[in-house]
Amino acid sequence: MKLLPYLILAYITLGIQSGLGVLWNSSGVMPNLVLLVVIFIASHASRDAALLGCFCLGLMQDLLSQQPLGVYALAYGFVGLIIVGAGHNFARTNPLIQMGTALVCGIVVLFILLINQRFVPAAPALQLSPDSFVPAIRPPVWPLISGVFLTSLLAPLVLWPLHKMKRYFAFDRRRW
Amino acid sequence: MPFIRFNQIFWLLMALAFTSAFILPRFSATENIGTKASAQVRGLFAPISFPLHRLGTWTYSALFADAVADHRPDDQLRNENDYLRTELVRLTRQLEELLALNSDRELLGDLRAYCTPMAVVGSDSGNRQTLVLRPALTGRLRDGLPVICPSGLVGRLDRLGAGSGAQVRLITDPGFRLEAGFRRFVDGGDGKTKVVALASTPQLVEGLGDGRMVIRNMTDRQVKEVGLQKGDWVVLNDRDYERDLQGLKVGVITAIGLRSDAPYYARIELKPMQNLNLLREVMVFDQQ
Repeated sequence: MKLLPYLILAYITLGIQSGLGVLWNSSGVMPNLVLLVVIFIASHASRDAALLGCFCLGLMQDLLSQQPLGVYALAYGFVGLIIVGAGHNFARTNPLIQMGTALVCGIVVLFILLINQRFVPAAPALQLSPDSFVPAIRPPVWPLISGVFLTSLLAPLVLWPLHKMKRYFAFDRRRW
Repeated sequence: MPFIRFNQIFWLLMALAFTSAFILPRFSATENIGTKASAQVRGLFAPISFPLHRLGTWTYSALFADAVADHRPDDQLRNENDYLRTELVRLTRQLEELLALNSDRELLGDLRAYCTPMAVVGSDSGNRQTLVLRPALTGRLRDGLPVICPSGLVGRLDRLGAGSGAQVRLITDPGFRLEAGFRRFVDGGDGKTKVVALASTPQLVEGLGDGRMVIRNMTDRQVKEVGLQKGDWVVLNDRDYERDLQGLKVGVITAIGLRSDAPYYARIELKPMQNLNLLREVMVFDQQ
């Protein structure tokens, strides 16, 4: 896989995810376009390149978010492992397969985010006085859950044009 | 053999990511690592995120903003505008007179003289509540500076990068904490409107995400004694903020209930005066 097209794709996707964050945060629904790019990379690139590419995409998304560094890197690393390990040709343009893959991967990412929020809350519990105690605060869960479903619905729209552009990435046909 | 070496490297990276995401934050160490790194790269995405952010705010305002339900005649609206402008001038003057009476404080002056305007180019790419500001010469700016807008307090500067964009952590971001007091506009009885301070001690306001904040450390009895109700203003009353910002609007109470985990304690929900995610420009306040 060529590095420059990968970096350009990552730059554009992360810029879109950040720029359109106003819609996500205002409407309460948060799709994850970066996850779709992760699925594209993992389903086309060779094993080593796919795993490293997915991990680095997550790392870049961590840098643009208030999340602790490493959350999305870990999540997308597992997504890459799942897709690479499944051994199926997810490059097929069947929309249902693409939606199903995005749904499963989205659930994996959601699971890791929820575990992280459980152990690393946004703000720890506070004992303000002997009689006053406020519990820890964690980000709301519903935008993440709704985002998983919206991301899976958007999967065919994003993965199909990426599939048409796969020749620019010079993926290694010998994947395994 | 190469297969084994890459596997080791990959799992080492995953272990580092796990450590950074789950273990180091408990010792507040990751914030330093991630802060320095992200502050340097965030502004690089401005060419993409800025136009999309503007498109997003326009789209949201056009499609999802609350529909105007006011169908009163135009002359009635004009009369109300004139009345509100008169009240605004009078209240501003009342505020200036009250501040002048306090010998320990200087006159408020124009807050804009201490502010640096900065354009908003993006939002948080995850599920947190932050704004990304356009890269600028940040020689005078530093982490922790308050960020305000005409409708009140927005948040604090966070993760400032040299030559790169700054990030504003919004007051609605989960875990953002500040202390605030309560205010209510009442009829003074002589045709004038006056501001009444409710409750003498400041209360802890916490961000919940999703554009909301909450106060959870007041007992139900305290709420009843103070007489809090929906529509009361919540204003900044926090010693960690500059003196000139005290009294700045934080939000308005939208709901008062009881905490499910502590029935004797109240759960007061509030939201900012406007949707902070739709801001196009903010003012970074620096009094130095």
